[in-house]
Amino acid sequence: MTSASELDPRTKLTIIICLTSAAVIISNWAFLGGLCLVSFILLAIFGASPWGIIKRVRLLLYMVVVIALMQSIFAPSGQTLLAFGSVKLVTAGGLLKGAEFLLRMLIIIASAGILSTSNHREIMQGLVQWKLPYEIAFMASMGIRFLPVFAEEFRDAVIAVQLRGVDIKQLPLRQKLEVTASLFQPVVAGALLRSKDIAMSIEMRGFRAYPTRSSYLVLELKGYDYAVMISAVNGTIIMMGGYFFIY
Amino acid sequence: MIDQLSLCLYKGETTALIGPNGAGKTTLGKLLTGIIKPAAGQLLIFGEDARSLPLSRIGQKVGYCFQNPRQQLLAASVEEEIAFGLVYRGVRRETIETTVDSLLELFEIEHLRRAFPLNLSWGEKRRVVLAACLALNPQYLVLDEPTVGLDAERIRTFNRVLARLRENGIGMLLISHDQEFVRENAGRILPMEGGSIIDDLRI
Repeated sequence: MTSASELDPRTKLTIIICLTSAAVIISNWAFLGGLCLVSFILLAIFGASPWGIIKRVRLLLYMVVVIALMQSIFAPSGQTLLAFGSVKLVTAGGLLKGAEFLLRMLIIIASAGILSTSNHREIMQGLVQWKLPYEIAFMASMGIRFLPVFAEEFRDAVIAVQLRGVDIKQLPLRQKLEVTASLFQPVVAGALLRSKDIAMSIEMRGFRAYPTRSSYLVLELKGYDYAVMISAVNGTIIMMGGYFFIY
Repeated sequence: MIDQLSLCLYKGETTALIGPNGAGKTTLGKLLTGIIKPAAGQLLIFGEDARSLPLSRIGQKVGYCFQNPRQQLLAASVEEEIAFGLVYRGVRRETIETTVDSLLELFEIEHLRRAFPLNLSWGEKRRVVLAACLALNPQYLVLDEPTVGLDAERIRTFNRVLARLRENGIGMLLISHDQEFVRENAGRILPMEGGSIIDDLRI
């Protein structure tokens, strides 16, 4: 029996396109909640640990929660739940908007988790066989390859800050924001420098991203791949139909 | 994996951890600074259980320099890098400026004061990280391969800095393959192999 993680990367990409497209179009917390649940169930079916993924991106999630709370404050609507004088701090509508943002981000994280069950070479080949220009497929695959690097560099940066005796949690808000901004600096600069090194290294080994090239790896869609793809697209159409019918 | 280890490191003593690649030296160094938490057993840092200590509290007492200095660089300029910990610990501006100036001079990097740390050479990055570590006035230092990327003259300067730290009673754990550097600085040598300390030599 074929395990879900062995599905063709194009099948996984189809599932991800369905999940993320629906997450972007739908603006209802209940639908998004359901979609988020489905994403994490799929993640488990694909053999990745949902809890493990959450743990790996917990710092990112912390920031997402902060952004969601800020969104709820700066986009007030509906019943006021907390106010400071005439300033509405927390409203029911704002909270729902924040929750929708959080759920969308969770769906995207789960989708990235599903994609991570294929290696970046297979994903690139899948995109090439979908007739995407090689240069773009290569860029996309390099982007995917950099995700764990980003996570690792971010973790290192947090450790480096703490080792300087700085407890981010204890800092006043302004300094907290300053330190958080400084965490991104080594990650972004490091990624740029590393991309330069990788580009130099692969070019020195004779690699050029020409539009067409032969490949040793050739992917083949099986019957169950088609079945999963058709089910994913149909499921999404039915859900979107239901959503537009209700709202 | 580090297994069945019983070890006590003393403040005021310089200990060197030596051994082949993959022996577990860096892992042990990270364990000793609380970056990695032990799966079992007990680790006490200055008498306090490391499990209950946040890394920022450990960082106030123990300085750690990563094997790869790039992992530790955060700021937009060398002077900000050295001042980073002091700024967020509420140290007075004048004191920070004096400390930064003296460390820039000590490590001969005054000309790099405004340079972007990630664009520096390996040896320069190493010196910036060491300066940033020392700026915090740690009671104990864990230095992972501190001489890699430093030329002979700079290693001599660094030896003088370490000697001065020793005089001030600061303990150190040096993780190094540089035998000459170890001989010059360490009073105790712990050879490691396969995750175990196989000897405890005092010079």
